Amino acid sequence: MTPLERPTAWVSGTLLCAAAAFGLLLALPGQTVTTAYLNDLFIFLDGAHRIASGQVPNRDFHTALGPLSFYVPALGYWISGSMGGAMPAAMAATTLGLALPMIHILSSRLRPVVAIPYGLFLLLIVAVPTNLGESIASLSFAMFYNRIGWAALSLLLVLYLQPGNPGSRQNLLDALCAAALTLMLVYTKATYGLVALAFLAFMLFDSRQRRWVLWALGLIVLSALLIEAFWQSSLSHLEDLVLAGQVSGTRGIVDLSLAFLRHMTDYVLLAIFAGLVLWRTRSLRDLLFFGICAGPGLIIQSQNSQPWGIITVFAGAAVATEILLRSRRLAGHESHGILAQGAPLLLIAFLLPTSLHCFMALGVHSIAATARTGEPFGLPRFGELRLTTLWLPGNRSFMTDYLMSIREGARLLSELPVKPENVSVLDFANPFSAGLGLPPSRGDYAWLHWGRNINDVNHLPPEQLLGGVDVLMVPKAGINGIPLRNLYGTYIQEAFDPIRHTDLWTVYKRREASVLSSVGQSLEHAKPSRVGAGDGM
Amino acid sequence: MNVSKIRPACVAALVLAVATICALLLALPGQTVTTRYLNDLFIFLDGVHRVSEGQIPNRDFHTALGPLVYYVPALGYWISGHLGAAMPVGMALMVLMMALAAAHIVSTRLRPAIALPLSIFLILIAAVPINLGESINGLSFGMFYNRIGWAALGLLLIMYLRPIHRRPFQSLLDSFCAASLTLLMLYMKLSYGLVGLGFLILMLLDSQQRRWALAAFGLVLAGGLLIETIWDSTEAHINDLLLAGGVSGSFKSLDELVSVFLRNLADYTLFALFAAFALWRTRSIRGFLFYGFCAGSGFMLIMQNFQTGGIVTLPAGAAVAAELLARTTPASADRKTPALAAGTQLLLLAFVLPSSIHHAATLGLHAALASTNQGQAVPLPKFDRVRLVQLWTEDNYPVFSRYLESLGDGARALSALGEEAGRVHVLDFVGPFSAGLGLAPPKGDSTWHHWGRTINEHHHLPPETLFQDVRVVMQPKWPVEFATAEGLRQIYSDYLSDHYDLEEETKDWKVYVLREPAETVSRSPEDDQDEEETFSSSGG
Repeated sequence: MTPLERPTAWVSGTLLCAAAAFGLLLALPGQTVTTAYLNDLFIFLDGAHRIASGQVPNRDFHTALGPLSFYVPALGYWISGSMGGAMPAAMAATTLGLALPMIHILSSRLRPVVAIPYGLFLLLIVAVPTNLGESIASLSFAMFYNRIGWAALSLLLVLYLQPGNPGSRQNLLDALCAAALTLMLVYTKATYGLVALAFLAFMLFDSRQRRWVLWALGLIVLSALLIEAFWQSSLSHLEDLVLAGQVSGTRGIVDLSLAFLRHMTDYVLLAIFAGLVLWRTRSLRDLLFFGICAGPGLIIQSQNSQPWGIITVFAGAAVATEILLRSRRLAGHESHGILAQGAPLLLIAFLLPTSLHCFMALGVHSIAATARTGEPFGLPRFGELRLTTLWLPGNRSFMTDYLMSIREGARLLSELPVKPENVSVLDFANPFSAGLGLPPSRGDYAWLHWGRNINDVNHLPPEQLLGGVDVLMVPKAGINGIPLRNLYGTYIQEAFDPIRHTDLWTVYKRREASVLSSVGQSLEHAKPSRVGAGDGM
Repeated sequence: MNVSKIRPACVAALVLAVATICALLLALPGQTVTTRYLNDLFIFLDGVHRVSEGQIPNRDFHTALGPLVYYVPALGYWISGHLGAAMPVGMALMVLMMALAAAHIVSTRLRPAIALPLSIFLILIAAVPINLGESINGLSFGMFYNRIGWAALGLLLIMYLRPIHRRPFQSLLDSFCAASLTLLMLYMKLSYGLVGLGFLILMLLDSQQRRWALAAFGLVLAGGLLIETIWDSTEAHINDLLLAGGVSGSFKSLDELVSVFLRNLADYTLFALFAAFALWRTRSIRGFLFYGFCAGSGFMLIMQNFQTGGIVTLPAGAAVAAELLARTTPASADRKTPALAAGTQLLLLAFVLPSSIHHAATLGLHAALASTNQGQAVPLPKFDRVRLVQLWTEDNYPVFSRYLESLGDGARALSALGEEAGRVHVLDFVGPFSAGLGLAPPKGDSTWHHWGRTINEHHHLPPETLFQDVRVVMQPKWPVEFATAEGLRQIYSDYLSDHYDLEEETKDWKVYVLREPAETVSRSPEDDQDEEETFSSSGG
């Protein structure tokens, strides 16, 4: 026991310090700087605003993302007290929160040479404000839930290893960590949660670890019941998930194989690790474990709007390295221990490029946020949010044009004689309620992404989506305003009066005391929007 | 399975065997399958046609590409007899020739665990029909010279190591290999050649290897002089290079430099690991210079190339570092190879294996598609073995498919001219009609134009030079590269209306024929260009 204390302390200390440092880098400037996916950011600022106003996800608004995807930004908003500080503070809190189970899991199962690089890697994945696989300059908090999902799942997978030196409370802590991570995944984004549950089911076959797995499953069931007692919206969440699944749930073999080819490098490396392990252990369970690292990750990745990054592959590599190092100790001085000695180096080389990339992006965000780079969004409550381009190549006018249109919409709204009660935007996201401090809309979608969670076959009836709205903002183009306008146009003409009209927006006000007739649906197809964001499923 | 027991002769044999398999996969189907950069392919095929009609690069036509870019596929054409087989067979020969040098270099300098992965990696770089850094469905022989350059440079860099298994005539063979690789690069694409010469200068610092390096310099010089006496166009080639350099050779902005570096961050990180370990062990200034040379020259080359990823000098430098680490590891008492040496060899495998698998799969895909007659043939009689294929996603297929349709239309328009057809110049990225219909090519024009890359409004050939021998000018309404076609039209429209008559106008083309000297009426061409964005590109 005693010889292990020191390395364990090293691992815990390093990871905790690193998590604190990354958290501070994010949260201290108190600003959000973004160069991409502005529209996605608005979903979560709006979400934080909704939660702060007392709304409950899936009860007061529709979303296919789990409730935590809204409570996490709300937590950030609560900590920082400003819209601009909400996302960085939220991700800083998540990074620190994830560090706790990480310290237990990694220090009890991996030796420091594996635990420290792998732990830093996972912390950076959570902390970095970019969409995985994109350039360092592509700063954005969009799809933060994917990064939380990858990191939590990849941490959970390390539980596959038996603890090196089990302490007295090992089983209890294991069960708590596994249950907490799984619940986090289930209530952040369902696809990750399913994989986590499947992994726990697989762990039941390990007789030496079955105990904590059963406890964890029990804890998960109990917590789910408890959450349901308060939340009371699991069923409507499932309905929203099914709807989003019908729109964009399936991926063809072509998509999957192209995704596989994009990740060829990672898979080849995992294959090298797995090959070394299986050659040594010849264990079917090990083979299945590597399959769990490789297969579901591919499906999740192709579901995500993310060019690269199957992080579970790295989990497989870390576990493989640990197995190799353990078996070397057992094998003693036999000659086939040679390759095992090289495994940590290979692992570090595997983790290093991505870690560096993420660390640099995190640094770029901190510097840009501290230096107040870029132009402020221009809405009253969005003072600490800025849009900039950094050195991204290509035409970035799409995002600046979008921001211009948002500003004009905000101006139109604030010029209205009566303060609107329930503003809705017939487009991707609603930046106005949060940006102007209006009461959030109720009963609608947190976001509408054509071809992702809505299309001309699967959508809410207009009475349900727009029934409670008193002021409706309809953009000329927006992110995906045109197909939505085609879909709901007839109802809008029947139930609303246009009151303002500019080049970018039409502002509608609900017609007083009018009788609504049922509306036929438009079958006109439209192109999916140009933004790969809001991929909730 | 112990790799370290393989003898050097076996390593050489294995390298040659792999190269032979790659060459057969390329050459046997005798077809060219492409999904991207069709326009680039036509440059080479047009060049093959010109060369086999007796023209000489840079003397009879202008080009910023080295003469070997035309002679390599021409060799393939002479062997196979079909333009469609010219590229694959030419590349197969190239791969075999480079494999001879590779077999010598890696078997004398690297241990088998490093030699085999690295040489297979380099051979596949040369053999795979895609632009490096692109996905498996981007089949194309476009910019093949870049791949040859990378592979040759990668091999040359291995010669930094002092040989461990000395052969008879080691220095002679070394200098011969180095000189032929350098000459290949010089006359394929000058930028690679210059890097090769720079490396030879670096080798002069090594007292033990100075002999072959000096001899290689001498051989390069002698080879250059010999080529100049036969080719006699070095000056014209340099003029063409300067013209292209004036358009696209400017220094890149810091933004671009940073984004290229960040795009290749993973490769640079791995390379830095190798270099740091090796330098920590050897503490040699020469070594430091060498790794810096690998990193820097690779960066400069990829900046010049039309290529997103795949800096081949980095894995080559990493292999050198891994070999040096293995050599300097003290033989410890318990016969255990220390972790660092074992780890770096494993890491090198991990470094080169993913792209090797990717390239092997791509090569196999090309062979499978080529031998099963997939896709759509180019509608020009001599290009019947060049096929455009759509793989999985739409990609550039609709654009190129439409372009092919316009080529069929153009061929009909030309055949309507009857005997007059010949010496055709197309005001577009490339002109496929001379080669595709077997017409006599004009002299003095350029095999390809690329707006913003080889020409722009300030840098271009005077019309008197470009059209000196042109009888028919084809102006496309559906060009493969819109910007180029539009730019050429603006530059040359005055000359065209002064000296040519609009003979025929079809759906996709305007056909101008050289005016008989008696006629003097001038006519201006109509401005009804169909706007269509195209996806095409090429290195210069």
